[in-house]
Amino acid sequence: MSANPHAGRRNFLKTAAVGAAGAMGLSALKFDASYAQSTGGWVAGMQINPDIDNKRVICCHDTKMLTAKPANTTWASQNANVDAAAVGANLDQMAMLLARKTTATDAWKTIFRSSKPWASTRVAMKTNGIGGNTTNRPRWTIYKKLTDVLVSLGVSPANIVLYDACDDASVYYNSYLSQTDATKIRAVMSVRAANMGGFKAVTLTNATGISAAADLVDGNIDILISVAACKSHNGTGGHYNYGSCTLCMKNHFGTFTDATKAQHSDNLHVGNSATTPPPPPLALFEINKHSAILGGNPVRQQLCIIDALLSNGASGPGGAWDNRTDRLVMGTFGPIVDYFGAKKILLDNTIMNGAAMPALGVTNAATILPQFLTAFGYSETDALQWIEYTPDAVPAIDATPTSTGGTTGTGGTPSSTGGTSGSGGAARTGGKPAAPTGGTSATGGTSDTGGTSDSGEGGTTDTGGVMSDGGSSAMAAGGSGGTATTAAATGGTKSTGGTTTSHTGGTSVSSSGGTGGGSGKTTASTDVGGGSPGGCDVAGGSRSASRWGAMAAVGAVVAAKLRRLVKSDDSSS
Amino acid sequence: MEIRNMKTGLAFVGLFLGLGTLGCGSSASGGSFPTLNAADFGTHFKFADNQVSGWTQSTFPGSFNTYTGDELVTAVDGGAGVYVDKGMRVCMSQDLMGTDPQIVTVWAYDFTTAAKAKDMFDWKKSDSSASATIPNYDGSVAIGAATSSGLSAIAHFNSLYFEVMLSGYGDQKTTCSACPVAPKFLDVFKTKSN
Repeated sequence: MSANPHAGRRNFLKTAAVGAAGAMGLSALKFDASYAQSTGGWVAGMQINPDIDNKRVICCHDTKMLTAKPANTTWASQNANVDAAAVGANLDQMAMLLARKTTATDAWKTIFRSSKPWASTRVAMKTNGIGGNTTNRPRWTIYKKLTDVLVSLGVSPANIVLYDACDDASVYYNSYLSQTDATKIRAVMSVRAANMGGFKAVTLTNATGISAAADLVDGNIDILISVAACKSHNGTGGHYNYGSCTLCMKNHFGTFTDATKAQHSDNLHVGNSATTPPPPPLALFEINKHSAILGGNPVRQQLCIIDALLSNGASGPGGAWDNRTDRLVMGTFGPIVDYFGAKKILLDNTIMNGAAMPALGVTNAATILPQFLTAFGYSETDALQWIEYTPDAVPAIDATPTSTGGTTGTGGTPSSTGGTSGSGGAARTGGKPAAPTGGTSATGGTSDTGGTSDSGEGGTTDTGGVMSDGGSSAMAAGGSGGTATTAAATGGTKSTGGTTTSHTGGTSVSSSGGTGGGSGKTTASTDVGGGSPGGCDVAGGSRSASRWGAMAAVGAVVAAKLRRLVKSDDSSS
Repeated sequence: MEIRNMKTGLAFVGLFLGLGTLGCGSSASGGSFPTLNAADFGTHFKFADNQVSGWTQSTFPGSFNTYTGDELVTAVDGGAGVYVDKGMRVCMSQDLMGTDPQIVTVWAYDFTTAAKAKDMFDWKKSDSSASATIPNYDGSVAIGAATSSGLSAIAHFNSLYFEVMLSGYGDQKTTCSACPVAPKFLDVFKTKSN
């Protein structure tokens, strides 16, 4: 496997950086691969994986993953009835659905990315060592499958670490670990942060005296996976906080801990002061935006899994499982994975029929859970995708969904004074291109030379038109009657469609009297829209995608202008 | 100093134990339990093998623990908040093994006053919608919540609050086979609480 199999994505990131910079009005454009998250963690609209929608969450419901209900709540019993083969097969299937790939190999390669050769890539898997022998915690077979996948990619078991920096999880997992035994979790255990570079102080706005695993803070971990048990969460003052759940985000209260006291995360557990509604869990959100989690390039935390084979409805975060729920949940973006995990499992009493979430938990979840989305720029009205299936009814994997791309755009009307009102390609409606042609062009735009259209360059990456550079030629070749010639773009990857606003016609300002008014140069926004990474396959895009598109559009315009300048310089030299 | 305190504390414990055996009923006492440090508190309430017939101490690492209020978060995560806010000072937990696959995790908490212990009990009772009757105990003193694998019983005696979490009994929603077991542990706690 190539050390850097994602050159195309790198191109995308480069272009995205331009878009972001342009959108922010920065004068200095950086074309290196250091996207914003490498220094600052979460950026509004950021896509965790350019090939997987943040809003896409897969849930597998399979009663065969447990051969029987565990006889009791001990850790041994929690694991004894897990069918590792079924769990592994389901995780493969979930990865395929998540990444929309028809083979598990392709799916995992899409999910896991590294800027380094795999052999030197370091991976951290978060688990939960809290509580005692009967506490519900992620079953070992999930980690085994993940390490099998990672090792198959070329990651060294010595570079895979299973950790809980707050509580020592080794007592639970050590017997299941081996770097050489393929029947076990091929990884090393970190007792708290011992194999994670120790602790390093971090400054947070919403909590004081916090440290975190140094290798995450310093960017020495390339891939982070959060695997959480499915548990309700009561808390301070007898209220419920954190959305009444502790899942993939709250799991990182074991990545960030109190600096001065071992095994404590008190400072992160905000006090409710018995208020209703409970206050926003700002520290929870802050650490999950932190560069330790969402920094890196590619983004460090690449996969979030909820082990809901067994779940805690009434027993709270430290308690034993009290429901057999037979589910696994997978996504790339923790806040939305957790939102769905709570809404679709913990708060569903038809599933939690062993012991339901207490009423106060339900009430408080109604206040806090939507904040899981809004804190990251999403909302409940977005086209969130919860795809739950059973193994005997696996949804078809639409690896090449139809993209309508831009529809025919019409050039400007013939006019002796140049094109006047060419209309651009209409919005793309998303979908993945069958071929990496991306959005090719839209017509319209302004031009002082008239002409038909620029032909876009978009969609050159391996993932389809993730980012169009827009029209490449600074000058249209001349009007040809005002009809569009290149409007039938095939669409960009997962596009929500370009915004049409900048394609609504050329408004030639000083045409020299071309033969046909035609459209002017195309700005790139149709193509950019076509390439926005946030689009989804169901509803065709989202607010975030539009935001991305808008940002990228600016960037692409800037890029196009730069090219013109370069060409101009070239031609003049 | 620490040893002297321990001795003093244990002397109090002995005194109260002696007094406690004189009065045994199904109601909560209203007195105050002596202030013990976490280690002594744990030792006091720790079950010996077969103290409840057929139940022995788990040998799994970490099966017996004590916590101050500040430390409870290490055991039950943010769930510690409700205990600490309601006045929990120290507590202990212990896992015991019964006839396979039956197990129990017992918790004893010092809330320093009977009112606080009752407040914790009332909150937990309400929060978990506990309604399973514990034989020989009034529902205002001890009650249980059935789960899909056992029973979570709670009780308060004196200034102390207790949890007895039984597992390995199968679904208890219709028939509570664990309900007669819970009072065996609560009886010991009650005796030690006076």
